[in-house]
Parts: sequence; structure tokens; C-alpha cells
Amino acid sequence: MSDPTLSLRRSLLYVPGNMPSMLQNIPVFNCDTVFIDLEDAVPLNEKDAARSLVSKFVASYKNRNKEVFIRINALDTEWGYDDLLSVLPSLPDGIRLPKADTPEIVERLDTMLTEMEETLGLEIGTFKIIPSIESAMGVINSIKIARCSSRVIALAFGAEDFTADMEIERTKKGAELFSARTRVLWAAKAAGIQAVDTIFADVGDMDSFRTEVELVKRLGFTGKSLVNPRQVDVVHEVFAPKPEEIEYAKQVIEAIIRAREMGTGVIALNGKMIDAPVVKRAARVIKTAVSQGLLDYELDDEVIYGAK
Amino acid sequence: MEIQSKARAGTMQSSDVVVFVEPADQLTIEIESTVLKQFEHLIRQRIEQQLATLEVTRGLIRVSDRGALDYAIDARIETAVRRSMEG
Amino acid sequence: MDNAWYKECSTGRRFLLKISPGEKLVEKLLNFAEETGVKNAVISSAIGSVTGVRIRGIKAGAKLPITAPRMNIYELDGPFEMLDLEGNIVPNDKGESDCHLHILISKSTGEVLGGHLFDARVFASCEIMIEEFFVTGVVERHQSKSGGISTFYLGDKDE
Repeated sequence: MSDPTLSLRRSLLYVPGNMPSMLQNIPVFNCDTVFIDLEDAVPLNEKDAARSLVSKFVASYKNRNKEVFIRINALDTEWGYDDLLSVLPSLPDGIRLPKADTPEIVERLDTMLTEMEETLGLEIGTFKIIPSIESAMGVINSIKIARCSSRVIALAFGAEDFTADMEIERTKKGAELFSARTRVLWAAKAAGIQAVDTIFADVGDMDSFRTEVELVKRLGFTGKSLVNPRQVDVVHEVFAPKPEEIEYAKQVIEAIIRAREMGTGVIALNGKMIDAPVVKRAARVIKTAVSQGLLDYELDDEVIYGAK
Repeated sequence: MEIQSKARAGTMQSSDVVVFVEPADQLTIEIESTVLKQFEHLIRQRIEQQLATLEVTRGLIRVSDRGALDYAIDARIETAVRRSMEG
Repeated sequence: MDNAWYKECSTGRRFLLKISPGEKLVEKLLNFAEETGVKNAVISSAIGSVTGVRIRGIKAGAKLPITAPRMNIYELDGPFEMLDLEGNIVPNDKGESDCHLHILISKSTGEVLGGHLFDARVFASCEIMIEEFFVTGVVERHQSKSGGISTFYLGDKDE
């Protein structure tokens, strides 16, 4: 697996942990990551069955074409710890931790994962963590949570539990989520990790779903949790750079190469000033386009950062 | 492990299998499956293998299968046996 | 009957130690001990300002022994006020002088930080009051199996 902190996580699809028909479809879904769910998708009297089913499935899913995360039950429930003991030996990529309200809760998972890695003889830090920010307390503490462990590679915002905690209604427009989303985003960006937006539950309303995906992309989210395979393509479309964006990015890179040859760090491109931040954004567009097979382009870092 | 009481695991969904276990003197496995003709022997073999792994030597195991794969058979057998011991 | 694990000590000499800007706290304390022939001592007071502070905190949920993955090690540039330095000088099992120190420092906001001290450098000033003590029998520092750091050992418990 390439460096987990860099991998593309645009579409993160929830898969119910107690449904074999869904589990064994995981290899054919075209999402970047799956969240196999042992928490809300599994009734209380089936927690033991789901844990066993999921660990055996993950163990059988050898050559993986996507990242496999498991949403365990919260650590302060009677199931959380046993979930970990059961699923970690089957080597998922990491754990999505619900109800991550404080950094201490994430630190506690961090030390548990260390113990399991020592028992399994794995390199310390193998298992990653994606905490769910899904309460007022979680949003408030998201800045510290983002930094509290090197295992945390992304923050995931959970609006269902957040709106319940706030005792407000989750609407399709999502205006009620705006400030929570931006704080989670600042926390993730400041810590240099990814930010994953909440699910959109109404699978039938693809228009409102697309609007929400476009909004969260514009705000700075790097991916979105999904509840149905049909939502994956919309996310990949919206997160893919548009042809005109790719074209403009190439022009920026060519312009900055000319500028460097002339010994200046800035240059005008059809009337607009091209300086370092513009170049960095253009490079990011090109890298994303190349990684999504939309473009074949050789981009060396010296162009972006300029020779020292 | 030892089957100590009646217990069940699994659901009626497609690709799943419902497993009923109850205490008995010897080991008998009854299989009912949507794909019985083609796969009965494979399903039986898998169940026997998993019971051996769990060191279960006695009990009545009734299975109603809807095309479950090996990992699902193993999981449902293990959960049913574990539940029978929790009583 | 679980009796206390202790050693009676008597006080020895008292020293006022000044460490200059840029000097390393731990290094200077140990040099001082070598120079003056102080075997066992306790820090009775220490104030000043420090920079380049390296301390450790134990992670929530950590179990013993406290190995590296169970602690957070912080490198704090500062400079900070040094509010207090607690700890002792006790030789290790090879007889070389060694110390175990915990430090309290404060930011300009008055916010206080602290932890097990690995090392720090003096910023502007450092005034330390040290009290030597003598003890009957053996007091040595061993690498503690549970604490992950070296702590002093009072010989067998029911000696």
C-alpha cells in the first residue's frame, strides 16, 4: 500500500457488517475506501455475529483493490474492545472510531492498537485511525483530536449524530452544518490530514446529493462518506478536476517554467498574476488528474517549488 | 468448545446461512440449501472442518443455506457454538 | 503485613548551584555531583528559565511497561519560565552519578506544562538549591521494568 497519508480517499462507502451479500461485493465496488460497519448498521443482539463474520471476511480478502476500515462500536460500550480483538488480526487498514469527542478517547485507541501490533508482531503504527467528529464536544475538540496521534490520517464529520446531539434537524440544504463543517476542516488542514464529510442518507435524491458534494468539495473536504454504491460515481465526477481546470493548470505550469528561465518567480498569464500559491494549486490539479487517469503528464517537483 | 444449549446464528438473507445447534451425543449435520445438489458435499466438508477447528465433537447441527461462501459458513458456525455456550 | 519500602537518610551538605545560559541542565547537575563527590542528593528548590525542553507524557489508556509507543515525547522550544524542578541524584548500578527529574514550565500566558524531563537548556538563569543526603546500605538506580525509565532501588524490600 502506498503511503496511507497520501492515498486518495474521495469515496468512503459504508458496508453493513452483518450482511454477507454486501460484504462479498466489496471487491467489485469502485470506491476508494470501505467502512465495514459493526456499529449502527448492526443490531445489539447481532454484535457478536457481525464481529466474527467481518473478521473472517477481511481475512479472506487478500489482494485488496481498496482500503478497508472498520467502524467498531465506541470504546465505552461493551462491544468496542472485543470488536478490536476480533477484527485486527485480519489486518484491516484501520479503524473508524465513533464518538471521538476528546483527544484522550483517540489516544486510548492508539495505545490499544500499539498493544495489538506488538502481539501480532506488526510494525508500530500499522493501523490507522479515522475519528468520527459527531457531537458538539467533538467539533470543539477537533483541533486537538486531529493532532493527538500519528495514526490519525483524516477527520470524518458525522452529521446524523451531530444534529441529534445539537437537537436540531438534519436538512438537505445543510445550512445547520456549516459552522461545524468549517471547524472540522480547519482542524484537519492545520494538522495536515484529510477531511471526510458526512453521509447523505436519501439515496433516491441524487440531485440534492450532487449539490451537497459540490458544496463540500468547494469548502475543502477531500472525500465523503457514502451509504450506497450508486453515490460513488457522483463523488468521483465532482472531485475530478474539470477539463478546463486541467487545461488552465498546464498553462500555469508552462508559464512558471518560462518565468524561471527568465529568472523571475512570477509571471502574468492572460492578465492574471501567477505566483507560488497559484502554481501549487495547479500542481495539485495535475497530480489529481494524473492519478485519476485523466491526464498523462510528467511533473517534476523542481518546477513547483523552484530550485533551491 | 462444547455445544451446551440450543442456539442459532445467521440470517435468511441471500449469501447467508442460518445455523441451529443443540446438544446431542454424537455429531450429526443436516443441510438444507438452495444449492444443495451442486454443493452439499462442499458445505458439509466446510462445516466439519470448522467444527474440528472449534474442537466440537458432538451435537446436532441444522443448517439452512442460501449460497453462503466459506467465510460466512465458518463465522455462523462459530457464533452459533459460542452462543450455545453462553446459555 | 505489607510494610513500607523505605530507607532512613541523614542530611549532608547543602549547595547553591548556578547554571549559565546555554548550558544543559542534566549535564551540569551530573558534573556538579562528580566534582563535589555528592553521591545522593535531592533538589530542594530550582527556578529560572529554560529552552529546548524535552519531556515525556504518558498516553491515556497506556498499560505497563511504559514503552516508547505508550508515551508522547515533546520537544518544546520555548523559552519558558522554569517554575520548579523536582527529583533526585542517585548513582546508577555502575556507580556513575545519575538523576531522575520532573520539570514544571510556564508559557507567557501562564499556562503550565510539565513531565518527566529528558533534557533542557538554560535560557537566562537557573538557580538550584541541592541537599546532599547519606543513607545506610545500598541505594542504586536501576532501569525500571515498569516505568520504562531509571528509578532508584532501595535494596530488597524486607532487608
